[in-house]
Amino acid sequence: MKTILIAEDSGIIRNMVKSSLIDTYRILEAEDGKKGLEIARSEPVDFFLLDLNMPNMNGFELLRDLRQMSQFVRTPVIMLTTEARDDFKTKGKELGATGWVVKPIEPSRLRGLIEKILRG
Amino acid sequence: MNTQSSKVHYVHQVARLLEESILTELRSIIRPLADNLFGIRENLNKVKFKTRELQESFQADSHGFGASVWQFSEESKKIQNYAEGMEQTVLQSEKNQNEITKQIESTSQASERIQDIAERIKLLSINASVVAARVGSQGKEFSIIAQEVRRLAEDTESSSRQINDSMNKTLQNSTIVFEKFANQLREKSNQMREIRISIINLENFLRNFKVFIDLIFRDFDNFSDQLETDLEKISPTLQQNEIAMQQIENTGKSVRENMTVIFENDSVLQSDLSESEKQLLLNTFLRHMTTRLEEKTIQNWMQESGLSKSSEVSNKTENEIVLF
Repeated sequence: MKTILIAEDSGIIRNMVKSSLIDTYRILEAEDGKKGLEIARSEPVDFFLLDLNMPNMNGFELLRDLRQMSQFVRTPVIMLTTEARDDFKTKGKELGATGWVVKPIEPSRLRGLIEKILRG
Repeated sequence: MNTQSSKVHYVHQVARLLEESILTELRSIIRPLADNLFGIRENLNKVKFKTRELQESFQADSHGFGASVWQFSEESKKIQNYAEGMEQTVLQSEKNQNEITKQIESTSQASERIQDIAERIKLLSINASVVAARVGSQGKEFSIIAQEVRRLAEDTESSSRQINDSMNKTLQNSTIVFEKFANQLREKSNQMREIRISIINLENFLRNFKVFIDLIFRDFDNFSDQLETDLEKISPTLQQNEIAMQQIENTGKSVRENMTVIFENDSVLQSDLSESEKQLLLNTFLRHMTTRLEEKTIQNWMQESGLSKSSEVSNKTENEIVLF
């Protein structure tokens, strides 16, 4: 079973995303970027869902650190955020994000996107 | 009816999910806060206990130390009295020295008079020798006596001079010694007086320091009592929040049940409400359940369940997924 790490400071949103994926994936949760980095250092993660605006390290900073870790150079990272500005998306792309999803998104669409990316 | 059942089922799902999320979020905020507050109270009690121990220990030590200082102060009073006694001795010795000086001077004067007398006796003896020589052989014995007298006078004069010199030397030496002795005594007396003043200052400082420390302990007691009172005020609030969370849980359950009853039993809702009206009803319900969830997310969830078929929403979501 593949492992997905969700880094999102809102517990409600985290629970909603988790509930739509937990049947198929092992879900790890982090309430901020710093916690997400700690978990990534100690757990094998196959997919990252990162919020952008988080305390203690935002999504961009976490993304940059993940891409510097050899085990996560190619791991899919989707920025799951309410930000829809093009300059933010450009920055995400430059830092190595796999994709950009603006909240809200239907859980089934998110599930489909993750499956598609993991299939390659 | 199947559609209706799925709507009810959906309402159940959403309400349960939102309720769990809200409760989890509230608990995650309140529980650590309550634990921290209880921890603070425990630590505060420990600090208060240790401070009281320290205060009692300080008071015991300061009492013993104060007794030692008092005893030392009493001993220093004796020293001061002794110093004053020494000064009196110096004064008395000065008087005695003056008396001795006067007596020596008087003796010196007497000695000088003796020397004068001896000088005159010498002159007389010389005259007697001259007279004896004039008399001739009959004055020979008288001349011998006169010579003897002259010798005695010279001896007397010499002895008297020696006595005078000796007494002057003695007077000088004793004056020197006495002055040295008097100066040393005065110096010692002054030192003792200064020691006594230092001890008095130390006593006053310790007394003031003890008062100061007592004030600090009293202020700390008042502060910790106030803090404890404030913490006790917060505790009921935390307990009320726990109760409120229980009430939210119960309310959520009863709302779910009520919604079930409404949808299942109300024929008007079942038959006469349009999809959009039911959607509106559900949205209103969900909006009251949470303040953080965006409506669009709720609508998307509704779309997934088949309750809402808003193509407008799906068009928008199409543009919000970008793969790099």
